[in-house]
Amino acid sequence: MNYKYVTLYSLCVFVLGSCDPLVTEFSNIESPKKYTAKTLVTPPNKDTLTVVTWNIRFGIGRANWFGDSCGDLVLFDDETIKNGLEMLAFQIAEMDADILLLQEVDIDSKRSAYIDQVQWLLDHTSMNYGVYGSMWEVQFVPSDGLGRVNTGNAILSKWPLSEAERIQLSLRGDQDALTKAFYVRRNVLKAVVNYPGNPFWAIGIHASAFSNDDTKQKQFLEFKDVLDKIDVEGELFVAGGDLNELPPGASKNNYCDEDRCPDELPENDEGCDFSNETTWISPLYNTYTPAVSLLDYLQNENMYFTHTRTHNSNDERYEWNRKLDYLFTNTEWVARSERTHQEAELESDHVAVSARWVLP
Amino acid sequence: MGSTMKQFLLTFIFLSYCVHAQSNNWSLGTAHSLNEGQWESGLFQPLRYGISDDKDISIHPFFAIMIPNFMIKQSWKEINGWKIASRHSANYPTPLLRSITGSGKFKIVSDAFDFPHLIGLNNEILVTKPFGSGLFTAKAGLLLGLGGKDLSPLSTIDIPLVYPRLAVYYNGWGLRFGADYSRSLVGRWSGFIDGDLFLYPGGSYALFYESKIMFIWTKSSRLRFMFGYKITYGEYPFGDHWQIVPPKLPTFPAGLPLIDIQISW
Repeated sequence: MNYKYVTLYSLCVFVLGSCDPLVTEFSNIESPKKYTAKTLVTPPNKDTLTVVTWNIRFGIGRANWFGDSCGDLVLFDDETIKNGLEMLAFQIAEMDADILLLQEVDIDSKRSAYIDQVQWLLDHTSMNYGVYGSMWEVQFVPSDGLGRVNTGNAILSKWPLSEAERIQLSLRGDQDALTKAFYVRRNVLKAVVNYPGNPFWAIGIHASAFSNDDTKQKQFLEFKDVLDKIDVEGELFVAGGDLNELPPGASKNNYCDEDRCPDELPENDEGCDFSNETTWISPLYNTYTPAVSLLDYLQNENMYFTHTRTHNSNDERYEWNRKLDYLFTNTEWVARSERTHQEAELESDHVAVSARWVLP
Repeated sequence: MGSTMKQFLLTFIFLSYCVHAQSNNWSLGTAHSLNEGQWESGLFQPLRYGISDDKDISIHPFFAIMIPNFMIKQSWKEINGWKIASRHSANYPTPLLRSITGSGKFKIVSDAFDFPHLIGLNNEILVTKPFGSGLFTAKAGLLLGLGGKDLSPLSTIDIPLVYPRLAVYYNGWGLRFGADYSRSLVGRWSGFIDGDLFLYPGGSYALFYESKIMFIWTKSSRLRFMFGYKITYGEYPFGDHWQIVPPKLPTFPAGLPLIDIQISW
């Protein structure tokens, strides 16, 4: 065999090894994408930080998107997305957030005009550093005209981040192989916030939204495992995200009738019946300190609701009607500092949850 | 046939058309025409027929229902050893584009958009000359996309191979340049390499390049098997992007090649 053909073949193999797959299948642990703001803002000199978790719904606010709210909208133009991001940035400034745990952040998606929303938010807020862990990176989703998608979790901070990891969570176990291959791959994203003299961990999660089997339970245990390992090391963390789960003891556990779209059948319901899941996040409550205690929540549930699936303001289901978003720490939150920002009702289909945390 | 399977097949047809469109093997991509009465086809390549020794016609029968198409090639005289030909083709992609528009699985374009009647015209000059033990062909063409002035810029299909071929309808016109070289390697093996440049002057995303390398095993003068890869580069709405085709598919091993079978009779 002529050596030049061997060389040519080797070149082909090398190039193939470096090409982008149609769907990115992640390793169990990967380094997330790292970001820095275009212009750095000097971090404040304070020891009480505001930690925020927010599912920002890729900047489309309360639009009737086809994927989660019985809508018919699929793609949004540059102006619409930037208007949505402007509203988010305004609220982030109002909250005086120091650490942001974000979910549903797009960085390269046709549905959101291919705007890198992590970079945009860094450049339009006082946040300086970010890490991003994709949960869905597909060159081409062959469904509903969705096209290219890259969306996931992000951690934004005023202080430098290091030791960041994207940790793969269990995939849904209730899908056919083809759907599963193109579907979302949930993850936990963690990073050390290098607060001067007192580093701590920030950890974000976005658990499965539509599974009907025990996928979420597995994911919560995997999330807790990440927290436990940090805790055992004697290190500090603030953690949170969109768990897509109701608090233990929630008075209403089934939202299927109100979530079901007019053309859908009850046998196709997904992720709306929580009645068999009432204890799935109890281990988190039992081990760590929630920003909103169960006692407070159960005394006035409406006050802590963070989500709804209906976005027509004339519809009675428009109001926030369930709590899915949480913050935990292995130390203490400042008493009565937690806020469920229900007043920000146009920015997303989720409400931001914030709490103040004192560095020990 | 279930609607999901039908949609899958439509998607497959569409993507296959883009992968193999304008493939250049045997005399298909050269300035040479088939001999009078000769037929040639391939798994994904057009059905060609020599209507005279210097003129052949072709259609993609596999795609004809969804993308009515037609091509004619006329070989002209030789100048300084260069064989010269012109190639003219037309296609009507609207039926296929409409069939992949909507909501649900295997719908590639959102149902917020509608495709009008679109006609694509491609006029090329090809020149071919033997070099060493191989054959070199260069080509230049003018692409025209008619009927697309009201297309929404959000309705594009932003993937390699597809975007460059539909961009002409959004831009109205474009230019295409290419070169390829084929030669025997060893025994029954031969090789083929090409490069194609698509330019859409005035467009927001104006430059696309594709290069293909194929290894060919010739069973006889009537049957050949081919496998290889394509590498693409382009300025897409999401940014500049390199891509190997075929890409790695979920659950499949990496490195699976393009394959084709070509027959002549």
